Amino acid sequence: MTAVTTSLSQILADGGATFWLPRNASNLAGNVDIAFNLLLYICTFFFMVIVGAMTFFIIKYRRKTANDETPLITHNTPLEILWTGIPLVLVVVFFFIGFNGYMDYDTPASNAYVIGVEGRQWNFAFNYPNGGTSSELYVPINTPVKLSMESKDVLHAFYVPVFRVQRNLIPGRTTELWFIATKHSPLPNPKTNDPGGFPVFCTQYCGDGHSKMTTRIHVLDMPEFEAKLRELANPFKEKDPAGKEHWVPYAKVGQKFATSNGCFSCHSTDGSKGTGPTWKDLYKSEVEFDACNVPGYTLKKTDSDEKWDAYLRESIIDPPAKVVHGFTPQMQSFASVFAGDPGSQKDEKLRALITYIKSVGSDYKAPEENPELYDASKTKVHPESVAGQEEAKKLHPPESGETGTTQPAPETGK
Amino acid sequence: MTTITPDLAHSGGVPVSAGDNYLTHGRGIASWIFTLDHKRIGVMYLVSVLSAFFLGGIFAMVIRTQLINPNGAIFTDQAHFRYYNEMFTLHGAVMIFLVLIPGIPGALGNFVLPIMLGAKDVAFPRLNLGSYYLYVSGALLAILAIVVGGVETGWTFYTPYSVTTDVDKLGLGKHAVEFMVFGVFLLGFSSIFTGMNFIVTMHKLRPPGMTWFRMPLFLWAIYATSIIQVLATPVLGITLLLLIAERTLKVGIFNPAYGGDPVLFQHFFWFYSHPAVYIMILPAMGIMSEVIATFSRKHIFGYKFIALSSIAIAIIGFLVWGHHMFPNGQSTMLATIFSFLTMAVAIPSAIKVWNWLATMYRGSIDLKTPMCYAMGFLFLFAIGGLTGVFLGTLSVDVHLHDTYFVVAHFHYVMFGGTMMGFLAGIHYWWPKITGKMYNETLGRIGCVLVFIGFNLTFFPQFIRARTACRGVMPRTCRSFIRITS
Ligand code: HEC
Ligand SMILES: [Cu+2]
Ligand SMILES: [Cu+2]
Repeated sequence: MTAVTTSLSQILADGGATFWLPRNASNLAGNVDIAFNLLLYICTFFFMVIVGAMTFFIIKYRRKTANDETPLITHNTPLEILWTGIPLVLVVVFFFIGFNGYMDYDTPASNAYVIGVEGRQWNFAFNYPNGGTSSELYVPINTPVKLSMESKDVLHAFYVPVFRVQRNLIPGRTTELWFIATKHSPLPNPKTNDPGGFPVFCTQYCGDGHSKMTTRIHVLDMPEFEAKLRELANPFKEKDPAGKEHWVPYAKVGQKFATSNGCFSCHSTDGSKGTGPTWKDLYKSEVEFDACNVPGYTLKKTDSDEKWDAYLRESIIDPPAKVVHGFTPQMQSFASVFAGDPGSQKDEKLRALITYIKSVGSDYKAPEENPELYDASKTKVHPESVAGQEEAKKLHPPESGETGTTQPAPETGK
Repeated sequence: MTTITPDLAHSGGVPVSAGDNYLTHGRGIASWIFTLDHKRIGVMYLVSVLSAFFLGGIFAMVIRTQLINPNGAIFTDQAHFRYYNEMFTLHGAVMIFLVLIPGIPGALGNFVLPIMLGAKDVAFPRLNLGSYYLYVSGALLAILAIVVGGVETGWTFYTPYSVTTDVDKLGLGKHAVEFMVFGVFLLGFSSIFTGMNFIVTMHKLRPPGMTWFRMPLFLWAIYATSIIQVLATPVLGITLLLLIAERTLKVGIFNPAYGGDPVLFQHFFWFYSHPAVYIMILPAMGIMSEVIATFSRKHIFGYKFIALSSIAIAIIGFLVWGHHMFPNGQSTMLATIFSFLTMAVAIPSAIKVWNWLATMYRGSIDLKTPMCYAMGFLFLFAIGGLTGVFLGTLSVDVHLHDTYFVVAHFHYVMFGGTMMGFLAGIHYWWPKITGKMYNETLGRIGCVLVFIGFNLTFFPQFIRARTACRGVMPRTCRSFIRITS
């Protein structure tokens, strides 16, 4: 009983929320709530009338004797016109209220800040104009934001209950959705494991991981938002608590990419089988294929680093090329995120991602985390990037037999 | 037109001796499975539909049990979530295609329509038996689909997911979805044939003196239903064949990866499936008109309004399918028109409710079991219908679309409406069908249990739409949002 009362009071205490609706936090929500409440009152009234009349008649006109006489009433035209007319007028009113609110959805502010949304089984990826990407959405408060959304595979939907917005993501089409966030979102609280932000759901059934296809919207003040954008656009650098910038090792950067691209909705790092094979000890293992674009291709523990690199690359850029034994080719290509010329930003991202996948196994040797080496002020390029390695090679020609990207990169920039 | 006269040898044409009736007239299993007697076919439908209802109910129990625990009580990891998805797909498909659509017309319609009309049988008794066997074949194909792989497309078969997903459990190839879809295709034809049969029967076999406006209201309801069945179902049939073609031949129709358009599928699908909800509810409304008049001992109020409102629903119901696609970002103009027509279709339903209430006015009301179910219908259908107005209101729908609110609304209309009406009808005609009276006390207790249980299950779902949004319990939220497809 106490559980019931506490959860009820929790429901009612949830700032701004009513029994029927969650709190509202966008410019579009007010209109919807007015319409909803109006409907609620009028419909409740009519429900009372119907059930009231029914109950009253059942009691008043209950059968008293086996041969009760009843009057012959076949129709009553004025009454019938009246009870057709009143609901008709009411639904026309409802229609206009709904239409009015709907127009707001379809007329985004012309100065809206545009953020790209990609839906995939089973995550959302957000692309900001400055090149930053994230798996949770960050938006500035009191600023019109327009989401330009597409799906890379099947239907999805983007639903933010507190904003009262919902729109489908349709493969082959671009759909749009806009809003002005009017309230700050709750801050993350690592102690209680509360991720912060407002919840976002995929509401269009999209396969086994559909219920996991959720994310959060963080509503920030403009300065914080801009700082966040800078951070997102440069995942290779991080600031320590003292405010000093330094390079992040590729394996860690790669982990960020794996998270923000939703790889973990299908791949695990603890050995458990998901929709896709686990990454644990994948690197330098024996892989069998159900389908393969190169006849006679095999992949073994003893194969070279280069062959493994090429395989992992291909698995991400062109997944159906080689289908791992026991799995269906459900993975979509990530070429739009990771395919680029050697040395380009996209290619470096892919290398970081691959470095991460390799690092989830015992055959991986991490580069030394030399604070000097990772000091951003000492070198302009990331020590693990193509350019960084070239530079390193020039300074310290490798000793015979020592090749490969997994070796600790020599210190540079001294 | 030779088949218009019913095949006398198998129907009531043979001289009847005292104590002989349709149940005792022929004996042995063959006299049932090859029967052309509309009454026997009706009984076979009744048994099949109730078995399917039981099966669909088991699927529903699995769904609800799984959701007892936020992390899943039966299937606890992603590798097994698939089975949950199969469960809600099958629950939906079985309940819609095997219970709600064929239920009242197939079972009760077949039994009482010729009797009420005063005809010896339906116009095409062989076709009638054919419909029944198409129904059985469709059901068997659906079971085959479950056995060979399982279907987890959702009952709407939305593309492109339904084009790409599949599992091969027995190593016979990945054809589960094709089997299922073809099963539904056959069920569609079963429905079309039944509708056609009834329309012809009502046009051609009305005895002299039985004018249109003397027909009982149940027949008007069946007539309106049949029109929808005949006009809308072929669209579903074609769509499903195209889906099979797309899966097997990889031609681009609905899957953008092959150059198709997934929204086209939705248009086709809902062009059938919205009118289909009227295929499901109209016959139940017909039963309501019969039962309420009988147990109030009154002439039905506003006979013509009720009869014509059935036809109005059948016609306007064809023009509202777009309300299932508001969040697709279709043109505002289209959305507006669909919203307006959706509102308009609420009016004939409202008229019926007023008429039923007015029929009870100054009546002599006897709460026998069928009347109990009819009162349950009024209560639940009022909630189902009024919440439909929320969903038809454009801006409110943007918030409620694809949430539990819709699930609740739908169950209030389909169970609270159709199934309550069906149950009322089964009890109402039970003595006529079996020659025996049911136990009145047990009947009433059953009705009250159904009513209470139904509300306990589905009313909280209206509020779920709101609590699902609470950030503090993401797990529960997730599991509650998961079946909203
Ligand atoms: C929808 C689920 C899904 C997502 C999301 C997904 N994958 Fe996959 N992935 C699979 C499946 C299924 C396979 C196995 C079939 C195949 O080889 O195509 C696979 C195979 C792979 C392989 C080869 C594994 C092996 O054992 O040889 C790699 C590497 C890979 N994925 C990387 C990624 C990366 C990186 C991401 C995120 C950017 C990602 N995947 C996202 C489903 C997914
Ligand atoms: Cu989804
Ligand atoms: Cu509809």
